[in-house]
Amino acid sequence: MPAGSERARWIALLRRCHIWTGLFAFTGLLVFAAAGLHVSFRPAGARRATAPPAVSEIAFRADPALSDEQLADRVHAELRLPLSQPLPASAVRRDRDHRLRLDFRTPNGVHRVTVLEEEGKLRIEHRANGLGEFLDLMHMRTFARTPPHPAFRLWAAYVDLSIFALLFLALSGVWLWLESRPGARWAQGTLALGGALFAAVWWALR
Amino acid sequence: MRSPYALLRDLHLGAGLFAAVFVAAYALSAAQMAYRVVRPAEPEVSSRVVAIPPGVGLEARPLARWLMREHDLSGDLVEVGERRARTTLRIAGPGAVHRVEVDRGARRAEIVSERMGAVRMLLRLHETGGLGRDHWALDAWGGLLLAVSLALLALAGSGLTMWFLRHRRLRFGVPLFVGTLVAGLTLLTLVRLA
Repeated sequence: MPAGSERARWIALLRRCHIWTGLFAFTGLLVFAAAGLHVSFRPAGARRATAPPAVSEIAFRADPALSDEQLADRVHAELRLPLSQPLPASAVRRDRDHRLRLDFRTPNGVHRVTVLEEEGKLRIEHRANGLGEFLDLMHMRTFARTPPHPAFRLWAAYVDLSIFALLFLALSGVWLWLESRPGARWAQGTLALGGALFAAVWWALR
Repeated sequence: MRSPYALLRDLHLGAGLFAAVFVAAYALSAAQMAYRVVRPAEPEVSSRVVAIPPGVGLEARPLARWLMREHDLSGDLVEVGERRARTTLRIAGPGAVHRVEVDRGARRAEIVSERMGAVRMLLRLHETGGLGRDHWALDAWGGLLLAVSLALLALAGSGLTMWFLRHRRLRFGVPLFVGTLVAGLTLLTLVRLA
């Protein structure tokens, strides 16, 4: 640890970095907070109200020589749904009537595509996400797992940086407190309360 | 009488210290999700058989509540199945997943539990939230997530106001703040309209 005036300079630099990191990550923090609030007030599972989907059909000839996975890739290429990615094998399924059913999920909603092979059609049900769901899905986007859409990827890169910014803000904030007024009892109590609540719930859920 | 700046500073400090452990946990788990920094340990599997006393109902929900209370199974009742004289339940939480097979005739339940290691539990906690859950600890976590979300808003608002009042460094801070704010909102709008 630096000493004397050098120490004061180091603390001033740390404070400046804390402020600049906060300014940089401000938008990200708002989105993280909005996602947390959305999840807190979202009804669980079956109680969640959903608007009826918009349904459309388009002509599509399913090549009989293709496997389900290849057909799913062909459907993805044909539809070019914005922000969507080709589905992994685990997401390629058939429904009770043995029709191929593909869910293309994006932050804006879900396109459920059913391949009607005998009728030569694709049925597309689009269920749009509200703003809260959109922000929740945007907060979990990271660069490595985002389709190559320029704005989407840039946002994901920003989320990645905001994650590390958040960690830095938490650690540097505690450090700055210890350097400025570590004797404040109420502050000690607040940190202990947060830590104790975290530990208690962790213990109860372990 | 304390100045508004001093009050803001206390609010920033209090919100930050309360949320510090949670924020660090969320940031670490997000980094693990994105980059798989460590390889999580496989869940530990154990099983046991318990007798169901005569006073306990054999329907799924009362039985699940009794198991949670008396046999320390934490989580939500996420799956129920019935087959002849047997009922199957799945109770899942961030720390463990319990599969319960109930022999209603013999009033006996076999519980197979998968207990998560610390890393898996941290990741599952990150994805847990909301109120009105089946287990009190999940509700408590939901309440804490709400409190931490509000603390984040308080931190962002108070931090920005304090910077504006005292510390603003116009050459670097304003372009940094305005640039990332405008860029972030623009990117969100572009994705929303895509």
